[in-house]
Amino acid sequence: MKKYIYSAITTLTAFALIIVFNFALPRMLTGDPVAMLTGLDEQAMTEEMYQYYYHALGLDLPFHKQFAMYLGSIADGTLGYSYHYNSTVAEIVAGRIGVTIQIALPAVVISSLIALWIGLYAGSRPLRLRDSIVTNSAVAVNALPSFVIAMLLLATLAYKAKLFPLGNLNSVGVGDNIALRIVDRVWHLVLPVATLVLASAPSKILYVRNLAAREAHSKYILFARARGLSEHNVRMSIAANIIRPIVAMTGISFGAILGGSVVVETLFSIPGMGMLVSDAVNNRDYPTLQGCLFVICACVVVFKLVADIFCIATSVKRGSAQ
Amino acid sequence: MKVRFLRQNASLLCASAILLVFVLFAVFPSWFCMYDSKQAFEPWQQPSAQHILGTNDLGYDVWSELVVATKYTLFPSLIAALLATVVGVVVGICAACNNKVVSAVFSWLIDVFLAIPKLPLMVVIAAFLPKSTLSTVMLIALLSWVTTARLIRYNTSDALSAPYVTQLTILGVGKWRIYTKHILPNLFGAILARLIVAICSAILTQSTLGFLGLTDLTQPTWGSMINFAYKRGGFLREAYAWLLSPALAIALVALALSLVGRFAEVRARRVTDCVAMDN
Repeated sequence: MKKYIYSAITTLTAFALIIVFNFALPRMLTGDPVAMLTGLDEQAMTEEMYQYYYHALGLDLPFHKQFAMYLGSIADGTLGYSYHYNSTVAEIVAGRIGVTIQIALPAVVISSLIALWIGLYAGSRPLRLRDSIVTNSAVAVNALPSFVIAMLLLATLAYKAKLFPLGNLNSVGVGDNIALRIVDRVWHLVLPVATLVLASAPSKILYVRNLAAREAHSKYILFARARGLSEHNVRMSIAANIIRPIVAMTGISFGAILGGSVVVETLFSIPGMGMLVSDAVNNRDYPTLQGCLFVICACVVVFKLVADIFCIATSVKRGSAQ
Repeated sequence: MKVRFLRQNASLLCASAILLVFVLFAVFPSWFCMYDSKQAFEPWQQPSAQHILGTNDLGYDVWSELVVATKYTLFPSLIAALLATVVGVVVGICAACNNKVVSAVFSWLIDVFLAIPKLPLMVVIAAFLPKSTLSTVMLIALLSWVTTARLIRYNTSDALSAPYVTQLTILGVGKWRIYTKHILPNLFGAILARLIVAICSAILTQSTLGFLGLTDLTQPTWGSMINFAYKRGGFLREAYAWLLSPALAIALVALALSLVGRFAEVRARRVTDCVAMDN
């Protein structure tokens, strides 16, 4: 029980840190706070507009009242107002977060499964030929940044070979047939998900491979092989012992994949949270940026909490094994 | 004997040669550039004998820009990685020390920073900060120390559980002396390996920030070169040399650093493995 509370407190503290950061950042830095908080150009505003915004944003209130106002804007669900898109940030985000989840969740699941499979395959017999091949290829692919992988996939598979579309979510003129639309959507999502998987899988493969290699030297694996158990059985036994750190790693990797989606969505023109962040940076739309950061961190926190709870719930209690 | 040394360490020697070349690019750019990087020729030229990688949309020679951008990419990443490693080592050692309060606080700090998603936070903070090399370096260092701290925490708690530490404590050796003269030298292998991997990931992070347009735009970096190539229509004009040569440079440096880092990791583990087997 203590471990649940510890993990919940840690993750929620990270979240609280981000909220405080979100609040403090535009107000503490050099530069006009009104410009930082609205994203409007201060030279384009008249004096009375400036005073209006100054008062409306609560910048003349003392610090703790400003923080209370900020927490209020989170609590009532508006997450601030974006003057660039002319709607509350919550509405903009709500329209886009489904798309990002469509990319990020398959990417997390597929990359973790691939990492488990290939890492076990390589680590169950460490330092053999297949281990060298897997490790060296993983190190090589790990060296490529995600936008390079995206551009390579775009240039070869989409542009030259025309196997996949160049971007966007749906083709024009697919019609109302649900099955066709689903197939079309999946066809559009293949390359972005493949980019995210290729970008995140190698480091996971190396991690799983190291865990498996450590287990492969232990006595029970030696006994299992001597007893004549099949390699598949041996690998499943190793997997049973290393699954907990792998679940923890998956929990942490969701944050990394959401970060990678910023680049991937920009390159594939997919209207999701990542592209929203990228556009907001280019347009200096700071309220949207803050709202996006808040929502992304909320997703990461939830995912990590679930992974941590699973790890704690499946941990062996001391004294119960021999 | 010389041939056997070359064959056994082939990948390490290749990686070191690549790194040496790029370090020479960074320190002596004028040896390798034929033209000044801001000299304008005819724009959008394909690779030719006069311009090895062609010219970009403003007419600058891409090869010269690439060579000049090396030092603006490598040195900030190096400094950021050094900072991150120093902070990570300090926090990691504190998180594994014997004092319950200190270790609990620092361990909790590591777990909190593990839960923070790095890239979104970096993007948001970089959008607010004035775009300069210093802010990029501090930003990368601010969020990259966690992995090092985690590893050092694990290694330090391993090292502290060795019998000789108990013996030294019984003999009355002060805690500070135990840490600096006995524990820290045992960690050097792991620290060096982590430093090399940290430089690699700092270069990748800086390239990603450069690609999103969040680094200092007056100093060309490889990531910002790819950003400009993409945004100014490099795909449509088939200027693949401009688009892909910085990417190839990033990939080569990251690959070389990963290989050297893996070599250092294997060396460090061999040392610690020997210690474990003796016990």
